[in-house]
Amino acid sequence: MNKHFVIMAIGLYAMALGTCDKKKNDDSVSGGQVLIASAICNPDGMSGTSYVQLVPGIDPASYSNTNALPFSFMVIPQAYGNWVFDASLMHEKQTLDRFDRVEGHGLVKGPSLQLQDGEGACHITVVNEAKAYVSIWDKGKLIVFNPTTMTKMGEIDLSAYGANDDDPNPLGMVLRDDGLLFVSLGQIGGNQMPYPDRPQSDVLIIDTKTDSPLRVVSETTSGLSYPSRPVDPRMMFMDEQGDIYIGCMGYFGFMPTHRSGFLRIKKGSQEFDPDYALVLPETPIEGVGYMADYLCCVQYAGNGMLYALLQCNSLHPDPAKPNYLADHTALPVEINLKAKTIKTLSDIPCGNNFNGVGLYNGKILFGISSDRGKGFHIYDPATGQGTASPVINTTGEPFAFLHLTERW
Amino acid sequence: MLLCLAMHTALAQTAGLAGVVVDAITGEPLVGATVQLEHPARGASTNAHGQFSMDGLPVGVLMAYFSHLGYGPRSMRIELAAGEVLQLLVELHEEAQSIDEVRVTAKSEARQLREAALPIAVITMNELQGTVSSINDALSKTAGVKLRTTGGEGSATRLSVRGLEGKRIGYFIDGTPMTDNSDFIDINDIPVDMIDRIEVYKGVVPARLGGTALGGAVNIVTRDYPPRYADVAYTLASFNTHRANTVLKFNQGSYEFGLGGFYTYSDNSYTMELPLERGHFERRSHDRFRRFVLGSGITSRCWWFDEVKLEPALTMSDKQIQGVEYNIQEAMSSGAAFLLPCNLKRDNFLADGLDFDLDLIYAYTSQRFVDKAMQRYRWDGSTYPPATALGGEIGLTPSDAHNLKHLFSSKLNLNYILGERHSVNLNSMANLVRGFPSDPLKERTLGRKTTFSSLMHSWVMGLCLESRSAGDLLLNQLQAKYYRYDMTTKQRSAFGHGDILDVRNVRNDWGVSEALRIRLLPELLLRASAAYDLRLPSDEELLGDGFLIMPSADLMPERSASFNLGLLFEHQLGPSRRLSIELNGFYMHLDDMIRYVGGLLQSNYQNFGQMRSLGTDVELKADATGFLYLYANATLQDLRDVRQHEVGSSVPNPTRGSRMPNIPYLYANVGLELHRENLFGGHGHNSRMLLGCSFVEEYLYDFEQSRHQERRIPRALTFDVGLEHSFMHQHLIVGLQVNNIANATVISEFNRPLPGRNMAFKVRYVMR
Repeated sequence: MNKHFVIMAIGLYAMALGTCDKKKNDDSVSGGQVLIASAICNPDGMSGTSYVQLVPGIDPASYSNTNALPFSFMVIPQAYGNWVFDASLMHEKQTLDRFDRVEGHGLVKGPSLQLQDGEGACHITVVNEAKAYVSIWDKGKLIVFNPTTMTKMGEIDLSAYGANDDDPNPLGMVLRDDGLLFVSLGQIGGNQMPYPDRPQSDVLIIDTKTDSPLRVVSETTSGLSYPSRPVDPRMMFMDEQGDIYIGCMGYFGFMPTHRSGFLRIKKGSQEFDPDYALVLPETPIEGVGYMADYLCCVQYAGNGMLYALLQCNSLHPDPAKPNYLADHTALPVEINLKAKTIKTLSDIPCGNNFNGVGLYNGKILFGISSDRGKGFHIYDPATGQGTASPVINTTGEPFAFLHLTERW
Repeated sequence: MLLCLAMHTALAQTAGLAGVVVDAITGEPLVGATVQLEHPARGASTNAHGQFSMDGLPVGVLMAYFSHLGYGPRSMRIELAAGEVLQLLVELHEEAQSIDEVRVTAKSEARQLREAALPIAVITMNELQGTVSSINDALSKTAGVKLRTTGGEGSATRLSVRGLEGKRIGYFIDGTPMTDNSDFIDINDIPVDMIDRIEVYKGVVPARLGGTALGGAVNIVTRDYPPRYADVAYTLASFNTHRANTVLKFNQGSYEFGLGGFYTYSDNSYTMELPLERGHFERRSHDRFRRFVLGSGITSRCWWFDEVKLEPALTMSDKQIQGVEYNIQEAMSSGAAFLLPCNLKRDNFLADGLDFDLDLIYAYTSQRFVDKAMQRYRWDGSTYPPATALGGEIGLTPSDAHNLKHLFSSKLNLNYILGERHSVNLNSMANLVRGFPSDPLKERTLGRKTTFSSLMHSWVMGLCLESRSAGDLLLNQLQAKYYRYDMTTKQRSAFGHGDILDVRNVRNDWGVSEALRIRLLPELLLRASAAYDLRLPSDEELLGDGFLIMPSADLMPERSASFNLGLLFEHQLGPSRRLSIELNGFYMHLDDMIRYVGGLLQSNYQNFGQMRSLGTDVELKADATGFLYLYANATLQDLRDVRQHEVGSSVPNPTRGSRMPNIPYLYANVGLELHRENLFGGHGHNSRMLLGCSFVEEYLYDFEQSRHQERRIPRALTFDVGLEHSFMHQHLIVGLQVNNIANATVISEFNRPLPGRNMAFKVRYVMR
């Protein structure tokens, strides 16, 4: 009996072991010049992984993450030509990684720039194939590196420009034709927020010929603060006229004296445009009866038109207890930067707080998680029509769309 | 062997006899042992502490006989003088006995527990002996149990029982929940020498333990000591680790006095590879841990209660914070706690068959966390500015937190024997927790108050009916629990800039479970149990931390439905040789899972998510020969996300059906122990050698999505070896243990490197 029992036990156990995972079907593709990224949160709610893959275009499709590459969680990848950079903002790794788009092979891991202890790589500006800058948002400096070899060439120490501390938190960057690099300074303190008594925006100007800081310019009248956003490199950009626009986060809508919106530095100027401020909490949104609190993500599309998802805190069912996954509070809009007007877009639903926007041959792709699904909706500015449901379905939160050949 | 110590007490012309009967090897008091005298024919049985007493005995020479089921009998000649109460310590050796043609072996309490209806693993003192390591090491060798450690001595450790971990697992010491004091006394701090057994409940938690736990519970049962006892032990281990512990006990009349304590010190100075910089190795230099615990006890048996016990204890600890992703050189935490537990027991309380057991506890705890460095450090020793102008090297703000807490707890256990086969148990546990947190430095940095005092009442009542059929063929345990909690605090709305709001949460709920054990054959037991139970949210989940984690006033308890099925086969291979095979299957569906939900600005705990767990574990233990003990176990646990939709929407959940990340799913242990008496000649010696191997299959840190998935906790295969030799009939014991002898890279939490090969040497002296 004893022997039979042992055999039975081993048999049962072997059956149980047979229930191990089966590999998922490989049902996605690797190719094209369209980069999509989706994010999957872990049960701990704080960590997760972004999955990045190249797809052929914007034809209706559903993509799993089977062939996607894991990238840093919820950081929008940055591209330059066929290079795609993965900046580990929150120290998930201590490198700035480069991936190369290789025809027929999708993204292939390239060399990496080794960072120092606790350096969080933020936004990247490539001057040419031999020189680039990356802002180290939590160590008060820029690193100058060779993007081809991903080797460090030098540092620009910005600690002298910090407000209240030694770290001005450099974020977004725009390189102008005159060789001046405009670096937005977050000037954030505890809890990654601006200092409450400092509702202003600072931009540092650097001479790239000598890689030395020239001066800091500040805008103190509009209440717009926290210029640019660490996870979104498109918050600061230069339009076709050479004007620089800087999206400001304010205090994410929670402190009325700090506001979100856009500031401008006009072509050739080294000062903020004193006549320009688009302040979200003061700008009505055509089509709805409320105003937005802060910019979630933006995409400039040319001709002064910008598309964005705007966070509207009033849309939280319980504002005292926001649920950033379940509450659909991000409103897709079209912003006329010149006219300083905002209007909603027909058919495209509000999404949760994990979202993105991109540009594809004049069409706008909104990455939205809503009751209608997860994925990218298409809005055609030419017709003013949007898709009610996602055209490109993703597995996870669709937070980034990059068409590698687009200017913006 | 007999040892006798005389203690004279003034009496009349008669004499008395008293003492304690213990296991000769373990020193464990033997309950129900028989003491018989010839001329006059008198008899007595030992009580729950192995003690007996007889008075009014004639002066002169008598023969006394001592026996206990499963132990060899002893006889002795004693001589009583007038007015004397002779005190004896009687040591019996374990062996099988034959009574009236039927082979009978005494069942220890541990074995009785193993044969209970609830799924349980029992680690006995015998299994703990021979190891110079810790409770954690013993637990991690148990089927269905895994330890999730983040570092060396004193580091944060989570116990995982069948994949459920953290707050879902209850910790108890002698049946008293540790929930609110786990920051001050970690179960791993308790020296193994002080432990009688460890009960690991898997899935269903018995109502008699009180408290609230869902996935399982660990109950550490401490030893009862003989009337006169002294035990001193010292361990020297790798990374400048020192552990010392002692227990002193003596009886005076009807009083017992005890004093014990332990001290642990470690630099935890092992070398680690930086997870963010592969190939760069650093010796941990800011990971010192110190803990000091002093406890005393006085037990009286001379009042109306059978036993009144008062056991005040004091604990103090501090720990430096070791950086792993980046260097931390100044931040540290410390804590102190004063506990005043009182226990009252009386059998046949108010009515025959009604046993009364009441615990009353007051605890005062103080916890500090200091992070106010005015510079931050790189691995090369150079510095850079702190996180804020007011300092801080961890996180976003500096901190000088000081949290004070008062806890009043009462636990009443009434057990009523309804007849030969039935008993009913009522357990009531009430807690009152008053918290006073403060962090003036953080408030200065943020310019606002972030922490608020809180008050929490909770009450858990459990009722258990236990029924046994004739011949012990069936054993049934039906239990129900009622839960109530009432929490009051304040919170700021909207990211700390709104008004201060009053928060109150009152909730009532219930749970029920049923467990059945059937003796299919004399040696084969079938166990089945089902539970529909819940876990109350913890303080932190309800109250938040006043800053980054918001209070969640409307948090619901986690609710689970579980089913366990097991077979236990135990066969006596011969004298002192036993084979035990246990096979279990388990299923659990967890609803309203409490998860930490990270937000853009603030986070909180929310109820969302469902998970199901399906698994099996098998365990084999065998005394293969008189000197060789073998064990092996394996666990396969498959935890899957079963949410159909994304929270709050009808969108399909992208991770539905995926294995829950960051939880091991396949692990196994195998080992052997050789033991031999007088291996090197002489007498009174005992030698043991242990060899253990542990395996954990690689698992993912994230939900499985891509074939390029990078973040993995690698497969681990480790070997441990231990040697122990005792002299002078277990009075002097020396041991040496080497863990991870192959120096394998071990990680149980993502990016948290654990020590490689390490060793410990221990010397212990026992006087009894």
